Amino acid sequence: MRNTWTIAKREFVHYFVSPIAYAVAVLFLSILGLLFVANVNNVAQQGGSPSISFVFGPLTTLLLFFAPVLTMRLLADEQSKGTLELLLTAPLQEWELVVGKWLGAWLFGLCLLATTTIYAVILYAYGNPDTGVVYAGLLGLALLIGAILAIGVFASSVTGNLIASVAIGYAFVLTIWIIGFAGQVVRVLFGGNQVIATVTEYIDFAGHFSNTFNRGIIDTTDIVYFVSVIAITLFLATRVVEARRWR
Amino acid sequence: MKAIAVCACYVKKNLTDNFKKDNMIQVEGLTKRYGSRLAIDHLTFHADKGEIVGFLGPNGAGKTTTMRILTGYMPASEGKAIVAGRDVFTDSLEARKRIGYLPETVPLYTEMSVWQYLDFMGELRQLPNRDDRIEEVMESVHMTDRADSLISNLSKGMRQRVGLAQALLHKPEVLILDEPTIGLDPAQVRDVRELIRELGGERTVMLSTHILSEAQAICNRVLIINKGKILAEDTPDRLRARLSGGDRVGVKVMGDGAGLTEALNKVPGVTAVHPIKDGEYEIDAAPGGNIRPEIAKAVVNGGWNLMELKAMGMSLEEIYLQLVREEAEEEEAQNA
Ligand SMILES: Nc1ncnc2c1ncn2[C@@H]1O[C@H](COP(=O)(O)OP(=O)(O)OP(=O)(O)O)[C@@H](O)[C@H]1O
Ligand SMILES: [Mg+2]
Repeated sequence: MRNTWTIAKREFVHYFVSPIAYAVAVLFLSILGLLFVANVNNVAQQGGSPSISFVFGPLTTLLLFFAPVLTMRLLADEQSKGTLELLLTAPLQEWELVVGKWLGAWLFGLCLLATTTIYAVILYAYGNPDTGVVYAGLLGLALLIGAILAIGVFASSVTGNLIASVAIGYAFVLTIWIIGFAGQVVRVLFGGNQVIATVTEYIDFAGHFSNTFNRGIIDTTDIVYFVSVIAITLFLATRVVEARRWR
Repeated sequence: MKAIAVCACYVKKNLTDNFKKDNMIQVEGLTKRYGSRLAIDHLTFHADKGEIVGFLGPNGAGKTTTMRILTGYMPASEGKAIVAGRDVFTDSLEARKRIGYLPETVPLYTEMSVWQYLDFMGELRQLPNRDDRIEEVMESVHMTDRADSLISNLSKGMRQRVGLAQALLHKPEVLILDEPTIGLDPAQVRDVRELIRELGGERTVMLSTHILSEAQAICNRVLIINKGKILAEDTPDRLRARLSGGDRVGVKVMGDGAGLTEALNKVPGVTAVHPIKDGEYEIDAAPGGNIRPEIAKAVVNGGWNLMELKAMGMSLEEIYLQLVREEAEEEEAQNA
């Protein structure tokens, strides 16, 4: 456990000296800012009350594109630079390494998420947003970020190449997104209670956030879903790192 | 009679116990296949406490592979390896705690400073009094003044020393160093060898090298390995004595020494005469019996002026090349 923390700390600090992480953060926050201004403006002109969910909704989509970039080097770099040899010959277990990598990335993700509370502050200053949505949304996003980053860690474990790592990360994340999208199409075409639609929506991230957390509802099903995604992908990544020894 | 047998038994048991206790590295039948390629082939060797063992072999001999198995980086296909009393396969974590390893590639986090890097590695090793220990180790590799330098700005030799510092941090019982002096300038090579020699006696060191003079200079024992097999194993001195077979004698005469080759060939016991340059010869003689007086007589009686006459052992360099060559010839013979 202590080793996990050692690894996590190093990764977390590394994000603050890495130009790529800065680029991602700046791009991410500016796009979010633009969306916020546009959405709030829109709603205000129609006489509605702006909600934080206008920020959190698009944020989930943005994450799909930014998360694999944040995680790409976590294990891929260790492999290509040979430092994995150092870690695997230190008294450190594979799961400690993998969980540590993920934890470092997640903490950085939470920092990014924390900056979005500025929008909540703005809404409170000029309006009367639903506090439940703010808290539930933040909790849901923290879980969602954890899940996407875990998939990124897995993508990073299977290759020593950064580009391949990002590509594999996108492949996974977009596949999950497309499955959810297909479910919605089925629902629109064939009506409400399709089994396929229910299943695909269960697999997709978005359904576990937009229908519940982003409406101020905290449902244990969704928490179980995100925690399972994190646990399963990190378990698989651990197995991949273990299997490296046998090559 | 019975009493003697019991006694002998007791002594024998005691001996094996001692043998095990002092054996810091014990390898039996270690084999590694990469797919169908056999990288190491049933290696068996050991290293005692305080010994410096050199692993000597040409490229692709299997040195790095063996070291990677000993350090727990990868499993063997077959065989057994015990380091510091722990089985590296079944008790890997405990074995790894007792091993310091400098990999061939000297993996470092180049975006970190020397201090940050050692601090990170020390934290992974869960060192007590980390700061003090890092300072100590930096002193022993002469890097104290570069503590805050980024590793990406260090020269190859300095990186090598940072890698060495990392291996020493946790005062490991066994040090495994894969080509520790490669890429260093002569002064640094001397420093690092000095450091390794200091470490031996207290810790067990296993190092690999292509450089024979290095093995000769710092190792108590040398294992010569080629194509995954151990060809020879002994102290550098005894290896030389054992393998040189016959004597080699160097002769130097005044002038160009015309006709001397023929005269020397006539001396009984001489098997070959190698002219080195004008007036200088090296003579191979059959083992046993000192032929130097005979050679001196032949030279003087033939009217040459003898300048120098010396006994020369075969250098480790020659032994090594000879062993590798013999092995290749044997293989050819088998294939033919
Ligand atoms: N990861 C690998 N996959 C496949 N074959 C490998 C791998 N690593 C090493 N080999 C092969 O195993 C053999 C032994 O290699 P090894 O690296 O152990 O040699 P070495 O003695 O360290 O050589 P050098 O002096 O060049 O460092 C070589 O034939 C090499 O090609
Ligand atoms: Mg090697």
